[in-house]
Amino acid sequence: MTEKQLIEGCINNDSRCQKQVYDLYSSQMYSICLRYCTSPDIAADALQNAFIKIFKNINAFRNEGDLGAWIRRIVVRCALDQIKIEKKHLSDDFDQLTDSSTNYFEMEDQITYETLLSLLSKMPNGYRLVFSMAVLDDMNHKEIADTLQITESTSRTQLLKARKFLQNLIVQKSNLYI
Amino acid sequence: MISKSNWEQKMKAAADGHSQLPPEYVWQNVEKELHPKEKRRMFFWLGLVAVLGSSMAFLYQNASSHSQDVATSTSKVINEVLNANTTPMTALSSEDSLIKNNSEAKIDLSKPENSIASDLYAKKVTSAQPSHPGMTEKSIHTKQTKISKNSPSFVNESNENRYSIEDDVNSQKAGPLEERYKIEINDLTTTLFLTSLDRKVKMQNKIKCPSFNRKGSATLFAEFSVSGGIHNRDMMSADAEYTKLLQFRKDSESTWYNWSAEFLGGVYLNPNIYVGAGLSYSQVKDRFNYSVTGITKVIINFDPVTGNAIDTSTVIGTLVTEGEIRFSSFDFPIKIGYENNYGGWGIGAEAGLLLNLSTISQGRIFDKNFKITPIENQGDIYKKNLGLGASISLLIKKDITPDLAIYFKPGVKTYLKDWNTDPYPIKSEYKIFYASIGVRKQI
Repeated sequence: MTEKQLIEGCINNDSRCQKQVYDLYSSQMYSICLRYCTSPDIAADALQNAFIKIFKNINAFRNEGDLGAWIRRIVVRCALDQIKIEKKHLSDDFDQLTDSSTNYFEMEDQITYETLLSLLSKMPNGYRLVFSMAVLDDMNHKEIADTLQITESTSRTQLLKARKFLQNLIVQKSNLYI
Repeated sequence: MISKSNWEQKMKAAADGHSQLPPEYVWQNVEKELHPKEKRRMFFWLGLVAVLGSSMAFLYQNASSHSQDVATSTSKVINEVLNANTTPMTALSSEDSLIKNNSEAKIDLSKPENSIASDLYAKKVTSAQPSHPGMTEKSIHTKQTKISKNSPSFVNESNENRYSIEDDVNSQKAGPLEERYKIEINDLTTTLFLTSLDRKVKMQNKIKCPSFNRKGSATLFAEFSVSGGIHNRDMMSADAEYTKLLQFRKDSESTWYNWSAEFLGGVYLNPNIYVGAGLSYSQVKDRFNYSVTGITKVIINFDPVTGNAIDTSTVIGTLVTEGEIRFSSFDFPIKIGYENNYGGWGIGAEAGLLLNLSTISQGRIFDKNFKITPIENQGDIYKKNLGLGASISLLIKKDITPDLAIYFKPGVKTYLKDWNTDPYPIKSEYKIFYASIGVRKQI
């Protein structure tokens, strides 16, 4: 079944097509949710809400662009919504800078996903979100600003601070990475 | 595109290269959200078909018995009409099978001479009644029966129906061996053909016989009841990770009581069987009670001169947290009941389906972090709609007036699925035992 046929099936609320789309993208999207959310349970809730929104609004996707990218945007938004529900408001953390002096990481040749999650978990929420959206999910500052309801300049500042924070966090084992 | 340093690219590669299967319940919940109505509709239509099907079956059965009763009443009319005329009558011939006092008479529909004029027909004529009260039974001979237009009307004392007898103007068209009578009993009109050679019963109109009307048509009723009772809760978890939480919840929560109020409108399909539907509101209540003991105060006495501690004592206290856990539900009950009447009492049973419209869960319980937290702050751990349920109860009824009765119903009800949402690892199921008292009014 082609992607177009799958989308048409989903528009017609065909559960088989919906399951195929879910199977195709759920693992990748769950991985994204895990990066944004603070626990697997919250990530699962976010993923669930995201796919409900995706299937209910799939007629808004008019085969313009990549379905995966469209789904990814919705998943990111739902993950952020879920964080808000968990009463961890973004604005609370935007100017928060934790003392990173006690949290050093030794950078290996390759970064594993677990290391990535550990690094992200050490970052304040505001930094982590902007960094994830900008660097890991390839969103530009306008999209980040729209999504987080902040200004573009705040987004730029947060990304700058996030990078500095990470530089301080990572103890270079070699000089290969920074 | 925002430019990335080397290590940022490695982080992105780690992020993009990773995928992890989400828990299975995520898809189950997505599917449930996307296709809930189909299942609900299916249950609704199944229930509706069951109720309508049983209604049709009973109505059909009732219609058949109605025909039979009409035939019986026709036979009764014949006897009374003929006996009301004091015309000398000869002995009823032995082959006369239609009118035979205090015995069973039958019409063989397979014989052409017993053909039926209308769609309403008699399959069987039973118990031709004795004559008018106070009259001695006499043999009759149809050829000699002659009823004039001026024949006096008379009242059947037994049921107060007024009969009037007159010649049918068309009777002249009947053959010499045939007498024709038009008999009116209120709105009942029957034409009888009686001949000595062959006997036919023709009913020209659909007969509405008042004495059978009540049985043939539906009797509506409305009832209101309140109930109270206790319930049983099964709490379980298939996830070993949450065994401790399950134990905490079992230790801190206990069942308490339930109550409900219900309004039902319905119809008697026959004197014994009824169906009804309505709306009910119920509350199931559990108790939360958790106590923890610990040091609440440390008292140290110092020597005022030296400043050294000379005595230390501790106060141990118990912190008790108590509360109520409440599940408030609106249900749409559909019920079918059977009752047998003994004098002014009725005894029977009732079974029903419940369609839960909404359920609100309130109270404080342990959350996944072992903190006592309001249910509403823990996300959707309890369902807002419990789905389909079932109930069964006994019925003991006492008639107060002919159309008003009070009743007592002890019963049990349950919902077919557990009360928790799928993501929540602990599942609760309730069986609700109740006793209700109510009043039923026939309309």
